[in-house]
Amino acid sequence: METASSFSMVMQVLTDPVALLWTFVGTFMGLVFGSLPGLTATMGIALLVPITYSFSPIHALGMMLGVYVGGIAGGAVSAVLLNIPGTPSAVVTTLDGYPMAQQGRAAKALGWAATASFFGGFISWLILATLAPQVAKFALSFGPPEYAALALFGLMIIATVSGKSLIKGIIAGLIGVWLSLFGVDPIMGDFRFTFGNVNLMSGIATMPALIGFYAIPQILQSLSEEETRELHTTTLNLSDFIPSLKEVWRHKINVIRSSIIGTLIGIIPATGGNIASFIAYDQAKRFSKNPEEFGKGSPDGVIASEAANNGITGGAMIPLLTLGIPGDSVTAVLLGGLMIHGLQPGPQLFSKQPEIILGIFTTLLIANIFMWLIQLVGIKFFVRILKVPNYFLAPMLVILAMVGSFALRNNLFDVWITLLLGLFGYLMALAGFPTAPTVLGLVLGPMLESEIRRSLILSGGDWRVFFVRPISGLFIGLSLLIVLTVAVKSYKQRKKAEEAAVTI
Amino acid sequence: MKSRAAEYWVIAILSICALFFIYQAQYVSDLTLPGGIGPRTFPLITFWSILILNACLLTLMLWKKKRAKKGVPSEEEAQTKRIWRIIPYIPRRSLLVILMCLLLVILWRYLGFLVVSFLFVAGASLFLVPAEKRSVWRSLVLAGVYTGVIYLLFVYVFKIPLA
Repeated sequence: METASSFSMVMQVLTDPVALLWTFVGTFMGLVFGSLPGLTATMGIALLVPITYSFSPIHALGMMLGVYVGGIAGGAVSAVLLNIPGTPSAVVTTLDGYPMAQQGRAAKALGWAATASFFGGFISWLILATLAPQVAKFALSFGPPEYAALALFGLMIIATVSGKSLIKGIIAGLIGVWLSLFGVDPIMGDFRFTFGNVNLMSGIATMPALIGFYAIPQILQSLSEEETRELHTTTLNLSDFIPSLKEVWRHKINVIRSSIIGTLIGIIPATGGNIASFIAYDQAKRFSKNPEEFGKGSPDGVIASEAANNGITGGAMIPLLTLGIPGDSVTAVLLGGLMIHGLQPGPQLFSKQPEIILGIFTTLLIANIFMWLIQLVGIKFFVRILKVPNYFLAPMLVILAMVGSFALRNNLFDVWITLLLGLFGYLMALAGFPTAPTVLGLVLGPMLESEIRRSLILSGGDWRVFFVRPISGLFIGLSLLIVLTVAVKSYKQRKKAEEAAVTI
Repeated sequence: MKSRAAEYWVIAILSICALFFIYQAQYVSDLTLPGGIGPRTFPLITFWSILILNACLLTLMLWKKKRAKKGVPSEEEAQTKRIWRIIPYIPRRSLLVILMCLLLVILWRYLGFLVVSFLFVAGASLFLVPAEKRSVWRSLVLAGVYTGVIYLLFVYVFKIPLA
């Protein structure tokens, strides 16, 4: 009975032309954002979520997940043709993708990138669909102390590893938590820091803040970069684009191994596609019969990198959907988008709204298929897009950001929030503060506060509640361990650098 | 070197804001549920943590600067203009967009979305383009088409009103 109802829900999505259309549009826009250096999947989701305000949750999910999948995969286009990764996760793709383009094999490299991305996404989707329901079942037993510890863990891990400085990372996370403190107190319902302003009574809206932190600084930074784009497209022969089945079969082990690495890395918070692709690339080189070809235009290098960074998509969705904890900035923005549509990811979503979960699973698979097909058919378009200079794109993206903030509540106050936080985010970026912890702090702040306070109410004010329960104790222990490890490591590095300077 | 001025500015802004919010926290209810903590506690922990970490960061920066002074100044340090040691260096094009964004939001209330968006896109696409590639007509057409498309999409397709 359950299987039959699940099947009918999946069919509902598959036969809904509007859902398919928005998934297609989302994937296409994601590929555009991913292809252009300086624009990322995170920025794409932040800017395109406002379009979905009036959509049904399933249609909105189609759009958002499409942007996510397309945005990650699109990074390979500029990595291969320009030697500039379109997204941070495509850094490793440049190592072999660009040499292939220089050798006149750009189409082959792009074809392998698209195909490996599809397989990476598909294998990670399989793992997500298998693993997520089990994790959600387990997470049903979690209480407030476990959620408080998880939120702390998610925040601490990203604050400690996302920047060069541990202190800056933690401050950035605290800024996000600070922004989440305005408005109604989550437990007692009292107003806090509203300064008599009606707009602040419901707090700082998440989407305008996310757009501010993720779109404005990136637009401003992209304008400061010199534009010297040299495309290697003269020999882009599209007949070479699609790898034959025989070729795919030959590389099957690399594809599967890299996809699994990507998925597993994606589950761990604060890791991301660049780490996954580095590890997958290293493994591919280690197991290769021709390791000397890596870095000189080996298709295996492109396959490993792209399969792993798209494997992240399914992996990162596991903690997001089952625990409501985003592992990185993309999933944090995705969480913001889901919450706008009244969806609160976590184990309850699996038991109370299984149709949404099935919708997410189905849409993610469709987005992967679209991502592959769009690239196969329209790769020449994405190549042409690379020629659009930033000075034309920047004003349009600013307008989209402002309109997106305004459209949430038809309120200019939100536009001011976007602009001011965007300018502060830009200043933070200039000063070397990472913005990912701020975004996570903003999203996880309310959860952290309310769950800590609920735990203390339940325990009668006994703080030991966080340490005596095994899961919360484990996550708090891990958080402390990570902070200590990073602190000791950076201290040792500084000492080493000082010693080296003295020797010179 | 250019980033150091930005670091000082971030620390200063954060510290002033944290102090202000610590002061403002006295107006937040101090009621607590039995065994729990009140609406004021968590914000105070956050603001004090930011202040303490800012102090640590500042100390670390000053200590590094003091140690660096003992040696020969780096080439970058020597070449950095005095002004960029006080004001964060922002490239000309980025600064232009920042000022135009401020104008956009201020004028939105009075002129409405269609006019401000048109003016913003036209102005920005005209001034950001290198002088040799500048074309007034191209900027006007781009602004008109883009503003029109965004307006039609949001208002008529997505049913989201724009003022």
